[in-house]
Amino acid sequence: MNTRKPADQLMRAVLWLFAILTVAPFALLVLTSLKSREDLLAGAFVLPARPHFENYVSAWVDGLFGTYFLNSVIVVVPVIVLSVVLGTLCGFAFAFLKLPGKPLLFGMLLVGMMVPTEAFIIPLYYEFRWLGLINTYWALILPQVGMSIPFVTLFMTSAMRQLPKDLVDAAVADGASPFRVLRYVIVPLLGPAASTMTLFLFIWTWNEFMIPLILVQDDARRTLPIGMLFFQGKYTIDIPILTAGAVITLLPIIIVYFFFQRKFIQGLTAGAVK
Amino acid sequence: MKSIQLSQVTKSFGVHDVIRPLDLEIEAGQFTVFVGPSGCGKSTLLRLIAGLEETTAGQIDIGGRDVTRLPPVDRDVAMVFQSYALYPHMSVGENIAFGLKIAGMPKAERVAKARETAATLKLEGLFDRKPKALSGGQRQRVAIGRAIVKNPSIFLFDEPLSNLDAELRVQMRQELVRLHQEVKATMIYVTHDQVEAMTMAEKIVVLRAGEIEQVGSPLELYENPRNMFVAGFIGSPKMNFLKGQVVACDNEAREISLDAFEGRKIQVSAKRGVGPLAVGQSVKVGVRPQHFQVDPDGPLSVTTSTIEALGNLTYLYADMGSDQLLCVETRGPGFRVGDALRLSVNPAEALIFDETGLRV
Repeated sequence: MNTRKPADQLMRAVLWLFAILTVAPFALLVLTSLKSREDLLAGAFVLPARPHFENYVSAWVDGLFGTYFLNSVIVVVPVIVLSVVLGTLCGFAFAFLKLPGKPLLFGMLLVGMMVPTEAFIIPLYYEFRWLGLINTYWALILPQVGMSIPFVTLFMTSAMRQLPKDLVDAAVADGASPFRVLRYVIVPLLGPAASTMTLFLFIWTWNEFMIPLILVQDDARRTLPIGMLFFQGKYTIDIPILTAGAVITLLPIIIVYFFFQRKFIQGLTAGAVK
Repeated sequence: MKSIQLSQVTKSFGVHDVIRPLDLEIEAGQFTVFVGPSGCGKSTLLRLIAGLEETTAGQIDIGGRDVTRLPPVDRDVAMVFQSYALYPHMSVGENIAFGLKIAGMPKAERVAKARETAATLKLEGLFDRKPKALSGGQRQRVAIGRAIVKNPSIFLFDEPLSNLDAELRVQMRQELVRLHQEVKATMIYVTHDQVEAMTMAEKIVVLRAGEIEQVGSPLELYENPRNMFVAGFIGSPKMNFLKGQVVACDNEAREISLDAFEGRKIQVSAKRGVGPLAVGQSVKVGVRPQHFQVDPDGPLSVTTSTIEALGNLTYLYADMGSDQLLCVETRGPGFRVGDALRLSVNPAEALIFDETGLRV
């Protein structure tokens, strides 16, 4: 049934164009990662005679992507857990508790979000050297948590302010302490907000470049993006293995994105009021 | 069952006084209704009693104990919210039992109590359902169950029926009155609906702009309003107010000439007068719609502009200029739009108010 208006069709064409522009480089990346070096010389768009999965094995073992991958996971999990837990507690304080100097503190959080990493990376390096934490996982986790908390706090504050105020009042009238209001009433309703935050933090932390580049020099502690950088230096010529490493770096983000995208988007507060 | 005493209670948000210094006593076991237009401070007053808002000044005593600075849980009150405020992620049973859980009651005991409460509210079959799977009336019952299960001395209701349809509202109104008779607790009920106030209350507190206009039983307020605000607010359709001047007055009767009727005079009995009147004084005469009679010899002539025939009663409306409609209650059919009618006023029932709105 083709009764769509021309304007709709034009819109579809534009959307398709952008979709192709977005997906094509990634498809090319995957294609290249399955070629041999000889296949590569035949042209970028030529299909290989057979898929060369050994490129992935080489990247994982020889290119140390296995180590980098594990390091990325070791960093990203505590960053997400700590940031979401601490950001939720801060958000609750901003949304519901009486706090002296609330506007000032809120302003400071905003400033914390606005300062770029480049502006504080040198003092941060000296601080971590003084603490003896250079080349440790802490050097990768702690600054990342510090940078994430302002955003999580702002996000959670606004998510909590959108909850019906009566729910909190009802829990208070039922005798719940602030902590229990948070634990039993607010947190269970913040599923969508928390999963959005988890997704954001995962992508940011997984892709973080500057902090691991400066605070970690030991190959055994490097995360995937930094691993990619140094791998590139060593194996510039071996493009198929390099692209296999790139796919290893990208794939978790795509998987996590699909997982959290599908998880509860709405409907959790349905039936609360009215 | 406990009494409540408010002494000089004040609440301000910034420079805005929501509750002016206010004294009120609510006897133990009484069903009291706070009524008033939107923004009059009735909900705020309820929240002050609940402990959800802190007083700016003054003292609140519940059962003879000063609770001004105590949190809600220590005041022995339970509140039902306008929006129901059910916890959406909990089942009906968990919603009802939540207060008991917080109080530290063991699980088996609180589930048993919640089941018992659900049964009294005819919610047994819905015990494991989430609020979103309930109808408006069922949600309202759960909200009431959450209050009952705590067995409080005082129930506070904040416009609990305003989200229900008309039929359900009448039914829930009766259920709440029955609940009051069963649990014999002190209840305070906030509404802007004067019909709810009249039908449910033992005592009505009329509020306006953070101040109490009048306190009394429903009939007391209806028969003897202290001022024009209360007279206009209580009773439906509203009381008619006719501007005029005092022509004569003695201990028996007062004669008023009415501006909207070319100075035609009506007699008002002095028996219901409460203050002095002087000849020449500007006043307003308050007449309820049923206290007009269609009377061929009546002094007031009107032309009907709208008719509402309800079957048992008919309301006739007549334009009086400046957007004012005169409402007259009659019986029976036979009236048409555009009819020219003559009306008389029952002199024993009309009330007189001075220029400031106070009854005289």
